[in-house]
Amino acid sequence: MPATEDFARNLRTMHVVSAASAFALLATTLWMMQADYADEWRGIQRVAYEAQAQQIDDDLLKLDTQEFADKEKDLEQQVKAAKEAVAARQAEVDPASKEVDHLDGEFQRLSRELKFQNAKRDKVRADYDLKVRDGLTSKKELEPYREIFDAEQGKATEMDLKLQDLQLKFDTAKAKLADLTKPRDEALAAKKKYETELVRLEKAKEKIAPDPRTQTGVAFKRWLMQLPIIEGFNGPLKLNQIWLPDLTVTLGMKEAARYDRCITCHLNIDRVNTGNVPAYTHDDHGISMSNADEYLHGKTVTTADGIRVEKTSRVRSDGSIVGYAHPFSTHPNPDLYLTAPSPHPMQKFGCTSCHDGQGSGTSFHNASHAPDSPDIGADWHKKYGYSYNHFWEYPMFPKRLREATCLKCHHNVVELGVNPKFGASAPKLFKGYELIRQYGCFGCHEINGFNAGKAIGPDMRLEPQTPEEAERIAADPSSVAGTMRKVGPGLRHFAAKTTRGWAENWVEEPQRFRPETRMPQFFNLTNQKDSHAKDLQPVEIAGIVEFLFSKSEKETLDHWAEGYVPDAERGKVLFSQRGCLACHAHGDFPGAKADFGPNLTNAHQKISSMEWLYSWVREPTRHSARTRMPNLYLEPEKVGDAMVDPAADIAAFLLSNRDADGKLVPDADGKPVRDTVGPDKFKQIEWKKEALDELSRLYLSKVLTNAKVDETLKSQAYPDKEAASIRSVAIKPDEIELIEGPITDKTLLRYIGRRSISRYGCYGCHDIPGFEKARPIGTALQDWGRKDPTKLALEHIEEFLHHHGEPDVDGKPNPQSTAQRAQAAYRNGLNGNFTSEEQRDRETAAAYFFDQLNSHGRAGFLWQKLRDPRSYDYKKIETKNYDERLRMPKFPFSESDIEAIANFVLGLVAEPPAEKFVYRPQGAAKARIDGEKLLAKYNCTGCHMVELPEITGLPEDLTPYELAKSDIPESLDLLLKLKPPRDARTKLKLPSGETAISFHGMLVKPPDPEDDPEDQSSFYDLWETISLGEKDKFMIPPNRIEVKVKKLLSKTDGRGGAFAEWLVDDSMKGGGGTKVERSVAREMAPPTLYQEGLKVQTPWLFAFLQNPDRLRYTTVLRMPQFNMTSDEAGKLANYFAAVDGAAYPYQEVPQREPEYLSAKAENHPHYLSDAWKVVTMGPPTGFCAGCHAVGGRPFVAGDPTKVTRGPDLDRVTNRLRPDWLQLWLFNPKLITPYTRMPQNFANDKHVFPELFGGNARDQAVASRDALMNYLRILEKEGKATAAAPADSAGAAGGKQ
Amino acid sequence: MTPHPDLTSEVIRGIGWLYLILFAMNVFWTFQIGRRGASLTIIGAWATYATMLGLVGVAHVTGGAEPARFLIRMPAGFKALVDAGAKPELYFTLSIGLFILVIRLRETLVKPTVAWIILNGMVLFMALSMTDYDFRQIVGKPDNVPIVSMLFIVAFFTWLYFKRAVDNDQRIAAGRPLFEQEDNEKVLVWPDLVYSEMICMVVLTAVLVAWGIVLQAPLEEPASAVRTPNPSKAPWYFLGLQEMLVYYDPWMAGVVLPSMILVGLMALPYIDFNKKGNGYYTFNERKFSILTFMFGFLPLWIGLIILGTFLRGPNWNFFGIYEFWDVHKLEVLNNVNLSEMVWVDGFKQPLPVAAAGAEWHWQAYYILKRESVGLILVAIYLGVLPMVMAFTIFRSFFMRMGFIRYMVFANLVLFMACLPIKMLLRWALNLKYIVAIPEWFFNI
Repeated sequence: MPATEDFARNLRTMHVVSAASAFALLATTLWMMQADYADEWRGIQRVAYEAQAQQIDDDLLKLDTQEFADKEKDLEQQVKAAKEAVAARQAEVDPASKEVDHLDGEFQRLSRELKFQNAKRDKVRADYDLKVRDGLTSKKELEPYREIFDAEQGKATEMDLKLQDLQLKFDTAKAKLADLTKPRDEALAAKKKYETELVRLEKAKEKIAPDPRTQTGVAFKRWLMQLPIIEGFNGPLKLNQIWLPDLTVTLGMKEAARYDRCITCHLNIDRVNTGNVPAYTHDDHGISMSNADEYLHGKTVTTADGIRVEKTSRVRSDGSIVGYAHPFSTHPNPDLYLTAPSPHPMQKFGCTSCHDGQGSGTSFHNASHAPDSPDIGADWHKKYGYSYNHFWEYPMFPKRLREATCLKCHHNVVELGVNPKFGASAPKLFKGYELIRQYGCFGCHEINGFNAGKAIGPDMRLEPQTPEEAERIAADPSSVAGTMRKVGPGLRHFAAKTTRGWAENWVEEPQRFRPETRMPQFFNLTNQKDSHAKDLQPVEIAGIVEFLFSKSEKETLDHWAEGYVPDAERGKVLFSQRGCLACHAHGDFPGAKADFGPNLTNAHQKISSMEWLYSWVREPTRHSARTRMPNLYLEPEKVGDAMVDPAADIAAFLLSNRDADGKLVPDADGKPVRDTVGPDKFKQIEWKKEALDELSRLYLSKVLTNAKVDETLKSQAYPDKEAASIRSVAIKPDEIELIEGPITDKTLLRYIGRRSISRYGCYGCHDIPGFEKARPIGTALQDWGRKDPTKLALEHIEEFLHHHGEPDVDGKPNPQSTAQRAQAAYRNGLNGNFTSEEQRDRETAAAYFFDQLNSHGRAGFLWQKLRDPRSYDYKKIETKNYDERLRMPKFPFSESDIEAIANFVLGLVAEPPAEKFVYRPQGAAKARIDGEKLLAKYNCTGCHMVELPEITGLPEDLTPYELAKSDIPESLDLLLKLKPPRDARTKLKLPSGETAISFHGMLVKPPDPEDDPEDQSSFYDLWETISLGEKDKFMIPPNRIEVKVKKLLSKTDGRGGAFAEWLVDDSMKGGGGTKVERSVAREMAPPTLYQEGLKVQTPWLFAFLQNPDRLRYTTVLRMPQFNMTSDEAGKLANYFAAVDGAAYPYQEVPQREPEYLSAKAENHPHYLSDAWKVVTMGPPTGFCAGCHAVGGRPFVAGDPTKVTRGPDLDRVTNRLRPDWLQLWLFNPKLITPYTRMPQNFANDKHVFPELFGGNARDQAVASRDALMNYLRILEKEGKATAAAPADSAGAAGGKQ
Repeated sequence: MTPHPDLTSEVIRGIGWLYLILFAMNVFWTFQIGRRGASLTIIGAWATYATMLGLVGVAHVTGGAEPARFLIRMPAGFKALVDAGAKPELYFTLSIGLFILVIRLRETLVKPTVAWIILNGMVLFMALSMTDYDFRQIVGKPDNVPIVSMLFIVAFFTWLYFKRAVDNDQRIAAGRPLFEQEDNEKVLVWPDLVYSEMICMVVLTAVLVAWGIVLQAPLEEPASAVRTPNPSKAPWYFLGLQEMLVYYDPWMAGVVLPSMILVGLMALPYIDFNKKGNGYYTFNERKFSILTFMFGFLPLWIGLIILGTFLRGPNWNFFGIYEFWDVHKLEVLNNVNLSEMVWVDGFKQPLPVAAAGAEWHWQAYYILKRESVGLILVAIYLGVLPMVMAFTIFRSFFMRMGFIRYMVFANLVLFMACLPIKMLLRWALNLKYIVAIPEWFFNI
């Protein structure tokens, strides 16, 4: 008890304070619960469910038609009528029904008894077994137990029989009853079936939005379960997550399982309707959190007749339906992502493995969303309180960089750009890859796809540069050799090609000489504008050229025949026809725009020796062993009586004198003349002796003491001790240039040249003598996407971009800085002030990257590094040594190129997921990828078209093909087997509302501009078999399809073959001397490789690619010999087969098998002999021999208007696949619509009445068999001797 | 788009609320002094000041639409001045100076009006400084908020102590009874103590919960053993210890000195022989012990926490409160060991080194020879100095304490002094270690 009644504080007040504090604690506790309950995802889920309910309402509304109601009513009536009909026979139904019930009861009772009985039996069997276990072995001992078992088993069997009996009775009774009630049952089933969709929708609705009036119980439960606290017990709103224990995320160097809770808010992301169509179509301006209320609940408006709630219409004024914005929409590409049949099902891949971001975050901010531009970020900040989470290492990639993550699993990249099933799924990334490949970034920046033998990403490395290196790698099973060639020309024999003056000019600024060159610029950049660099830079340039010339190795040059006068005019024609234009552009041929090789318009100003050029075009590998320029077989040949040396003519053409605009400057006779000055007009660069000394001292002081440097320069001799140590090491330092002989200015210059080549890494792209063992100079890029941003050397870039950063306009400094540009883009983005989508994309991209740079992000760093690599030296050169200045050259990239490269480089993270997620194609898919890389490497598509143009529109005539009288019926079957028909109907509609179809074909006649625009149409030859949905009705080649211009929706250019197309047009215009028809012109051009895999045997193609012999006589050029390995030839050969789903690498030729031949011989003695006759029989009755050399008989040229020399037939046996050959023989135009080979075996003509009963089909089959057994027959039958008077041959349509 | 906006509308509004709170406080204050019968001039002055605060507050809350043109901000000149003086030695000297000043002026400072003016000054300084981006970044960090409040709390309790102590000292001087004697009201455990404690507990829980909701803990990068944050800071209460690491080897700063602090605090009752000051506040009667404790607590512990929190930035460099924490800022940190000073600078000869491959005792000999001066100095400091002090400044202490107690006391004092001494040596002579024997992981 208290000692005194006086308390220090008033007890009443204390009570009040205590109560108040208790209430405060209660209030904060409730506040805490509320704060937890108010998580934004709950609100989003609520709206998402409402939106789902509304979508169901919409679907229900579609069923809410008069038609539906009528039908439903009708069915209702039918049910009623049927019920009445059954009721009329109630007297029969009742007893039947009773009988069924009775039997059912009986059956159930007996089943139960049987079950019990079986249990009893099992027990006594077990008892018996236990006795055996306990050692009761004698019959006597066991007998009682067995008897018990037998008794129980007997009972069970008896009951089973009874039950079967009963079953029979039961079934009969049921059938009888069903028969009686059949009309009613059927009517009910029909009604139920009709209402399935309705019921499904109503059920779905009940689940997420039960109607409180009609579904009070469910609605109450749902309401109750959403209350705070209670909702913790399995309420309807909950966190959804995908757990990916194998697809880990690296957190602080530890691999942690990935938890993706994105689907908590993106609830509809994987909802698709039938046909894999997004159920909640994405629409950036669709229903979102900010406007959902208007769409779902409407707003209250006061009208004349009172207050009303108006919902915003989901139909826009243009008739389109408002879709769903994030987070309510479905993924826009369900074919490729998320759905179970797609290659990336959501449950297996989650979300953040592709998008990055913080999967475990459940708020907008914590998820680390990333805006595509700062203005969007500002908008998000306003709406969702977004701010950049600096600490999460994997923020989501913004839209413009989102393809980067594909690289984690798709190390081959190619499948993301060229894919038969999904098209270009990551076009930007693929473009970045292509740019890196073409510009050779890997020469300086190694992109090693392997770490200790384990694949970690795309592999882009230079191939081994020396035989020793190649050997070492081959011997080490854990290392893989690089495959990329240096992208620049080899400089090993540089001196033979040009002059020092030209070379110095080129090195200084390549684009000055050739604006479209890919060679980057090393000099005159932003960190070389000071007077110091102005002095030293010329020494470096002169040094590099001095080094290259002095080290240049001797090259033996060829000379054209004595007395031969190269003809530049003829050279021009040969240049255009022999395929040069497939890779090179030239000002004289403005239509041909190839950029695989350099533009050759100015070649005469660069090349100092015509002999060199002559040797180069004849045999490129002599000059540069690893060149991609093929050997074009430009051998001297006889034309008429005269010898023509195409290489010399082409060289003469290229070295003809031209004016500044690239126009030929002819002599008095109008003939082109040789540019005699050539590269000599380029003056050598001037440099100062002091600058040479300064630079020499700078470099020498790195290896020698200052005193020794002085001594060396004074005595003009390198110190002995140091020289000896240089001689003794394996990898020589640059000072090796100074150790032999006296040190003159020339040797110093060469030393500076070598130093500069080392410093600028010229050998990353060029083969330079002395640098075979040099390593790439740049930062390796294979894990650059994870580079610690604090390690980026940002220097004063922010300040630089504040004042500069934009390229000059017309030679004057740009008044606008990058910071101003970005600010303007930001404001324009906020206010929607862009004039075009293109401008928006370009400018907001700049703002995005600038913003990234300011937040020290990798993307921003990369962007500026590629835009202006030396800008990072802003205000740094003043405090640096000259040789410490940045040296990355400036590449001619556009900003969109840079964005593409950023996608690629940021995707290089060297964090491959578990092996099962990495895309490792096998078989045909791998063959395709390997082949695609080679197509690009050797520019196969420069000449050959590998995919035909796709025409989408509505042809005038869609009559399906009917078998003609002349057609061999089997030809159609074979055609459909080789080329299964494709459904040509598209989802696209013409303006008139008709459905468009698409087909692959070739243009045969462009629209005539003279025609009335209404009637203009183009004509195409159909190359594939297509169906229009009707069974057994097809359109097949060579159907000539007319498409009116107004009914043409789109037309692609096909893939590749730009040169072939150019040559066709050129030949038609008479570029080769005479004008020819389109079909002839096509035969003159490189052939289309459409479905080549079905045509040729892979082993033959393999051999042909390595050593292409002359195949066609119609073409004006030959397939050149590429500088490829046998491995590459094999891959390329496999590629064509893989693309067309044909067998590879080996093919069966059943026609050569004894079984086949003996079966034939059974019906037809001397089968092969007769077949041989069909093939070799000379005119007038035979026809093969008219155009082809066959059976040892050479081709004899006849009337060139009638006879075209076809390929020699001795190759057929190894070259063609039997089925293809058969179809070709049946009717060549089914395969190649433009061919001039006629349909020789027509069903209605009997060409060889005496052979095979005159049956054209049998003759065609026999021809194929003869050709497939060519050598065997030739051996037996001997050479065909009769000469064919070719001009009277029955081929070439002569007989038709 | 602007990564470091100097001011934003939200910030201006926030500062406005701070001014309004200060306005409310001063209105209350004005009424208080009015009730206590202050002169009209003074009331008028306070009223005017309060009104101005109110107007400034309203201007902030309503007028922040264009942050770029907002006028009421910390003058750039002042900021530049503060940043230019941002050096640890200056900071430490000023904090010692402030400490002395507080002791000296204690009788003035405890006057309510003076204290109130200081409080106003502190809040105004805060509010004006908040207009600076870099200041906001440091002070506004959610985990620095307790340290900011600690500044005010420490100031308040120090003030409270001095108020009581000065009062009692005056009473003793005037021969009046002590405040504690005069106000000798014994209170009951129940309900006065336990009930109050329970209420405090409940209120504190409520405050913590509310704090937890309002100020979310910041989400930072995933922990990684290979990549530590820059700067890596200890929890705020250990920042004083962390600061010692700048001057001492980890084993000293992290093991010996903290242990000495703990042991020293435990030993206090056994060392203290002054019977006065028991159960009441006083300063004059316990000058030595209070000054010693306050020196250890205020400049050496709290001062270093503030330094570590607000002034140490990336790379553990020293930054002004208005200075951008730029990782690229470099400071010259070339320090030399005492042995180098002695051998290289003094004797002009190389450091003694044992011949390569010498036996361990030869190595030990050379190491000891190399560090002999430092070792001797340390020995003098810890072994001789206490005796010298015993016969000079601590003569009376020594007499009353006896040898052992005195030695414990003297060593504790010397250990406390070794931090400022080392600081001084570092700043004055760039001295790294007095004894540097990395071979044995022994550095002082």
